[in-house]
Amino acid sequence: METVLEMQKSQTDDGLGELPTFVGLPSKRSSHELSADAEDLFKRIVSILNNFLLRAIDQQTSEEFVAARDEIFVNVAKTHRALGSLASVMVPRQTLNRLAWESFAEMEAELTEQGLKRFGATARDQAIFTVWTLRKMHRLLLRIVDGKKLEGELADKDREIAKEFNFFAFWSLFHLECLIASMRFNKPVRPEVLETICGGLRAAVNAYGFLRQGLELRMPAREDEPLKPYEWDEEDEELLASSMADMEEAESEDW
Amino acid sequence: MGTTPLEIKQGEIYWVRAKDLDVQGSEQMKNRPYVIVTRNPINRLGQNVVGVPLTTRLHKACAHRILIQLAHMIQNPACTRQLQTSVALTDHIRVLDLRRLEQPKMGDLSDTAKGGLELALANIFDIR
Repeated sequence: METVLEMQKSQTDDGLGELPTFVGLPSKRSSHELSADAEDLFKRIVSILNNFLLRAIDQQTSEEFVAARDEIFVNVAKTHRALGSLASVMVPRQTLNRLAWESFAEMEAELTEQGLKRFGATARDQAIFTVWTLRKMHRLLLRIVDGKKLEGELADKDREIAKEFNFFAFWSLFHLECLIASMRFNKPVRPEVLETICGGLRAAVNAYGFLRQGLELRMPAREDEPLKPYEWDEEDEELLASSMADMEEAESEDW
Repeated sequence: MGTTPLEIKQGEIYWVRAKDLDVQGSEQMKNRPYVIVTRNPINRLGQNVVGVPLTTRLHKACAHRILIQLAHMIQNPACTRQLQTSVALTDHIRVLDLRRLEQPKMGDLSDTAKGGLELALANIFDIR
């Protein structure tokens, strides 16, 4: 993963504000709508993405999957960036946003409907959480794009954050897309591979963490306005005591 | 039991000492580290804080129980208790008595991990 991370980091020197916003996974419905503007081009890109994904989920063991992923990941990320950039040029922003929301909803619906049967509860829940996180990231990214332009040291810091965000966002997206492709093309994923995919989905949490830092650069949280102290009475004391009451004094230091 | 801490900050990790014996249900009952999640102004009011317990049973990681790698924790060199890669048991979030927090703090979460924890908490409370 580290090697891929370094390769991916070298792909862009944009700040978060210059990154193309998430356009959503090319689903049956959204790709159709996008392709109304540039039919062949978008279809071709979607087809390239699908080929990459099918190659990955076709692997029989975790090792094979990791090897295939390491080989194709940078190109998958490049293809996604191309799709995002192209869409931002050819499709009005409002439409793009709507397509992204529709894409999230479609993914959630597909995972809810088929996820348990195909992947089991753990992977399904992780995948739904990932879609939920993508949705939150999309919202944050829009605020970042609309936020103030950064300069100097802040811009440098932003570029560093963008590199990290980019990697973790595409990494989680890639693993999510593997599951979506498995459903859409009716290709089963081996349990061993599924476990690796679940590990990859967790990268969405890191991506969100980096994006949050990017937002903080633009809109720093109001620093710690002191609150007016309130009266602490016996009821508060009682509630606090009851919250702690079930915690035992354990000898063990294991946690 | 540790002394009353001077200032507790969001994202700090403390060893929390438990006391009364009353085992029930699936609550977290052992002494263990907690990440403080309440905002600093609330922490400064000085009676209680809200924390999320950590466990080193990594198999417990799932969607909203996020895995926090050691690389995303900053060890406090003054603390002899060592941080470890952990799972944040966000669904066991609880109110903590400040007097049960052992000083010095074990360390801090990185900004990225703080963001991740915020995300997981937003998820369990369905904050969109």
